[in-house]
Amino acid sequence: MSDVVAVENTTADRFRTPRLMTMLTPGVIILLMSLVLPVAWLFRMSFNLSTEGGVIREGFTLHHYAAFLTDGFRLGIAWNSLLLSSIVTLLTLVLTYPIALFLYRWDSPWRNVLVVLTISPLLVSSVVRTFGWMLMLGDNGWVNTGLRSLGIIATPIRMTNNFTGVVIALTEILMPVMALALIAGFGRLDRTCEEAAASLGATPARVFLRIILPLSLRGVALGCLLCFVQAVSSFITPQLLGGGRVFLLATEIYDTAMTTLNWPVSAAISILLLCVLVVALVGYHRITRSFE
Amino acid sequence: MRTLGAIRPVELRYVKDGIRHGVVDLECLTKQYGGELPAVSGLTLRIEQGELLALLGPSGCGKTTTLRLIAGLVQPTAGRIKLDNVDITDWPSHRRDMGVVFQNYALFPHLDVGQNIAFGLEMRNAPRGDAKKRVADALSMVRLDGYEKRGIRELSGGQQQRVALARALVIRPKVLLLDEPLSNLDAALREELRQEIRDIQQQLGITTIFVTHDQSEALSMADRIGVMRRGRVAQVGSPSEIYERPADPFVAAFVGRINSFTGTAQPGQPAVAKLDAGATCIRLPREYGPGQLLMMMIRPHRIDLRRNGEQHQCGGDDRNLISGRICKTVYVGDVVQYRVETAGLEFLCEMSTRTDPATRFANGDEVTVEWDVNDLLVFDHGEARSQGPS
Repeated sequence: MSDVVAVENTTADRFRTPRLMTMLTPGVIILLMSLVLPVAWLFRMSFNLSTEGGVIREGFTLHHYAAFLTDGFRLGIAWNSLLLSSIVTLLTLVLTYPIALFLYRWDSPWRNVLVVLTISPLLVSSVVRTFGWMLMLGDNGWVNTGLRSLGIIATPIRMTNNFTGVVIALTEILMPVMALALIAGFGRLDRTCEEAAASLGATPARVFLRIILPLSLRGVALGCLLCFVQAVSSFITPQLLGGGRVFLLATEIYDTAMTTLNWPVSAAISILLLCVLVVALVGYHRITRSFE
Repeated sequence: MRTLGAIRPVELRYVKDGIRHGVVDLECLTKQYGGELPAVSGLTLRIEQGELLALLGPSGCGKTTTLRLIAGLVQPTAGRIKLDNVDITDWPSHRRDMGVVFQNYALFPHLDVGQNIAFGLEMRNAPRGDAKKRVADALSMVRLDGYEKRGIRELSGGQQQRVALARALVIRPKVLLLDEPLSNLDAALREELRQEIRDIQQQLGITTIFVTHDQSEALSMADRIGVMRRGRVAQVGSPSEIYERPADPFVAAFVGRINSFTGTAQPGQPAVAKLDAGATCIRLPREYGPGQLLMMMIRPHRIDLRRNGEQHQCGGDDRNLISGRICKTVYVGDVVQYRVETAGLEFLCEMSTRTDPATRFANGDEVTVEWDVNDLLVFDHGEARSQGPS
């Protein structure tokens, strides 16, 4: 009996690495086909020549990149995208942090119920949630009607078909993601550390700034990365709530590819967007490494 | 193991200069969490200037809650806490000027050693140069010179403990509170740090409250010990008082090993008790009312064992003798522990191993258990728990 076990063990050891490789294979193949190859194709496409009418000619030109980087309008779009994503990320963080901290701290059987409720909006498609916001923020939406009937405003506040509406909706849509990241990142928080700080003379505000906040930065970094990446590449919400008047990288890619049928230019902008995401990822990596 | 370096007084001067002594008064302090029994119940205790008071008790006796009440980390349900005759019951923790060392040290993982120690000074807005000097002095006090830039995770358990102590002391607190500070350390280090903490405490002359469940820690370090049970102080006294003149069977049984047995004072012979187990009679140190139920206790090391002892019932004037047989022998190192079966009772006895090995006993040896009647601790059995030798 023990011999059999021993043989099994050595077999397991010997084949551990190959077996692991076997198990990885399907995932690697799927990633190759669904991510690496399309991106590679996109990369190749961005160097092709484009002609009027959507005809693509095989070739190699850096023209699309150069045109984007020298075109004031398109650089403005890139700037808009970065600005919107930064504002949304910051707002999401500020609004979600207290909720996440409360949920992490709350010592009650209802805690898990509340956590599930907090992230339950993820179950609803962002199209539906965007429509919800269009109903609420429109000129005759609940918010404006309510404010008008209370006599606080006379004319409706414009919150659809502009930057403001996109920011509001995206912030709400990304809050569950931020909450998940923050709760996951609160692992280093330690109540006794806060008590120690208080006993050393730290007021509650200073305990927060000097102990709680630094110890939760890992979660903050992760949450900001996820929200920024999603915001910068978000398409549906800016498209619907922006009403064609908010120009962002994602909407520009869509318009170039689908309206102008200029796939090479669209591919080039996509690659530039990908570069932004890579920069965000590298930044995240740098920041988290500095926590070690 | 490193030998204990004597603490140079000059190292302490800077920290010591500012130490203000504190007298802590607890008045009818009560803390109730949720429904059942209060964690601390009507506790009244005065901790004198410069003394080290150990709060000793089993887990759940309320000793840590008491410490947290004093530190202001929890609010009492009732009662007052006074520091130097000022009522600080409603003061928040950060105003209380108490240095706390937590069981898990609670060092800030994102700060290095120097920043950890400087934290309290920073909260007090101490000038940077002054703070730097005080941090260096505090580190020197706990023999960690030059460790300012180390990360917390690079430190061993004992070093973390020292940093926690330095961090608590550098703010020149009026009172130092230690919550089981040695329980996470291995035995050798614990002994070493016991001495070190005691030395520092005495050099600084700082009022200290020390929570522990380890009776030898309390006995060896404290000026006074408060033995706690179910949220109340069962007895407060010097280590020798607690050990030699325990106020009740609980204290006697908690502090050190002890044999206990019950019996009844004999009518007609007021200084003799008939034991409940067996039909043995033993002498008592003083007279008791006839028929009085008694709980009697004797420390294992106060018992003598004799081979082939005479079969006495109610032996000589000041000695009690009970015959029995060795049923278990445990060699501990400095002592040998014997379990001796007598008629209906089992005694735990400890003999020093300094004696000639030839005189030691083996299982099955017929022996006489013998002790001086004045070593017997006798309590009214009204509230006593009956328990075998522990």
